[in-house]
Amino acid sequence: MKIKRLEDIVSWILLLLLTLWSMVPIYFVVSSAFKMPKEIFNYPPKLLFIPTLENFVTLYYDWPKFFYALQNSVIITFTSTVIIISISTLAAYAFSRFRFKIINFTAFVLIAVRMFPPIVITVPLYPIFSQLHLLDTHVILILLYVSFYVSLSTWVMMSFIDEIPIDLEEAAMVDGATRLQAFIKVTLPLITPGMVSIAILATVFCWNEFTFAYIFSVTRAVTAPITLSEMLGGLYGAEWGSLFTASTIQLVPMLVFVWAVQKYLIRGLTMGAIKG
Amino acid sequence: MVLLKKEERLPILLVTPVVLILTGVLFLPSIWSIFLSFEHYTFGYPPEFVGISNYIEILADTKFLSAIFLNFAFVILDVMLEFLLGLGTALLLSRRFPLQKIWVALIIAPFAVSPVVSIVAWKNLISPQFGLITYLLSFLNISTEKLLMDPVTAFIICIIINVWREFPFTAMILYAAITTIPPDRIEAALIDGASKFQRFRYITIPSIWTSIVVALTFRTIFAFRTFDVIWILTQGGPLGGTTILSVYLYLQSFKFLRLGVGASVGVIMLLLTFLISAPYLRTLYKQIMARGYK
Repeated sequence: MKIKRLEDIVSWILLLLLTLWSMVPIYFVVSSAFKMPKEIFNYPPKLLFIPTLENFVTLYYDWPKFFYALQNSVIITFTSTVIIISISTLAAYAFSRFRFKIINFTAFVLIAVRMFPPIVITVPLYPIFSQLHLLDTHVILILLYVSFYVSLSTWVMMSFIDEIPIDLEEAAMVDGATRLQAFIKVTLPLITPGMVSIAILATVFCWNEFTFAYIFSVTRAVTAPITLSEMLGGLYGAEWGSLFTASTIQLVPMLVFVWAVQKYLIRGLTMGAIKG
Repeated sequence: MVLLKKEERLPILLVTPVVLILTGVLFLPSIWSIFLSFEHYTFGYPPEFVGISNYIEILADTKFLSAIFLNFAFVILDVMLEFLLGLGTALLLSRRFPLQKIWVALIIAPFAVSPVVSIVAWKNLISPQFGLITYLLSFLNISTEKLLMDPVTAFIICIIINVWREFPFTAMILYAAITTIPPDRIEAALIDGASKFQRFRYITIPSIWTSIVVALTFRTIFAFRTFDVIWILTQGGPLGGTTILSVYLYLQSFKFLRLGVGASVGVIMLLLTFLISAPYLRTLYKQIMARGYK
């Protein structure tokens, strides 16, 4: 009995430590955003304080650029995610329901693409995009995000569709539905959890992506992470307040999103990694 | 389309968008990249064929050799720490606590944080002026003033931040795997009088072995190409102490605009990635090609 007690105590301590390790860095960014600029410099750092929105006002007047970048992030993330969901669902349906050599091989290549290191492709793409006058546009970032995320998404979708018995569709087709109708009416509703999973993974990826945005955008297509890195680079004392506030604005939506749909996230990640 | 059998047309049509985008953005540029690696190509000037001289140049460059070494050191330390932390988290969470969902949510939170914001967060904690870690370390008489100015400590901080951001991936995969172990297996072991360690060694580990292998493979491949966290924090410095391959590639290609040299670094990175992922790709290939009609 005593050992059991001790074990419980130890596991609670470990749980708290682990939670602190994950949450303390986040807590300090978010809480600093609500501190008076002077209070950020309190040493030792204070855990409790009277919250203020002063930093938000400063950020708004000093960094209109950040809000422009944020808007770009929203546009690019949303568009990429919608494209990723649509084309990977189509491909996954083909891979799952039609199994012959070319299709299987395409599926393999598509999944293998995930291993491709993104930075390697920036070298040949830079002169190509420059030639096509596409540098610093939303389009190339969307194209790149789609290319690098259809792989995982298609695989996750494929695992979800594999689990839906084809008999259901065939039954609908016997009843006179076309293949397309059978897919839309029977299969699609059953694979929405899969679509939610890839939507989360894709959104988090596009919203947070740094490397491509850093290399291929200059002013027009900059995304929020890029403006943040710029703020971080040119930092002198007074601007910590704006930096923490901008970081909070970039961070919190994703955090809330991930928490809200946690179940689907874990399911999607597991399917993307394990099932095949 | 005409050459295809009728029943093969629809699936081919369905995968066309994906195939077209990947061909345009990835496959063709990759092939061109291989050609580029044999050319002297400064951005803005016409390329000129020079054989393998780019490769000879980088293989003789101590910075490149150091980048390879640092890259492997980074991957080994990073993946090992992520794995230990991820497995520990998964085992701990599988004990189940009251308010389980909230604990899981809080622990995996770094997954949602962008590389930039994670740097902001950790710079806050180690700030010599107001950081919490600075304050805590001051009791041990350790100063955080020069942490980012020393190649070794800067390298370690890059790893810590990367582990912080990436361990939830391993934790979630292993946690999901542990929770699907059939309870009767554990009960059977309990009836046989297995000790905690025996249960862990002979039931938990074998049951989640596939997940372990996959998590390790993926994290190794992804850690190998790390760029964002390092570039934002140190830009490869101090004194090249955090210049791993991706940073070296970036500097050559986009700082010195020597795209030919950058391309040859890219080809080497691609080959190394391929070597690391070969066993995984082989299994995958067999699995997928064996898919027939159910």
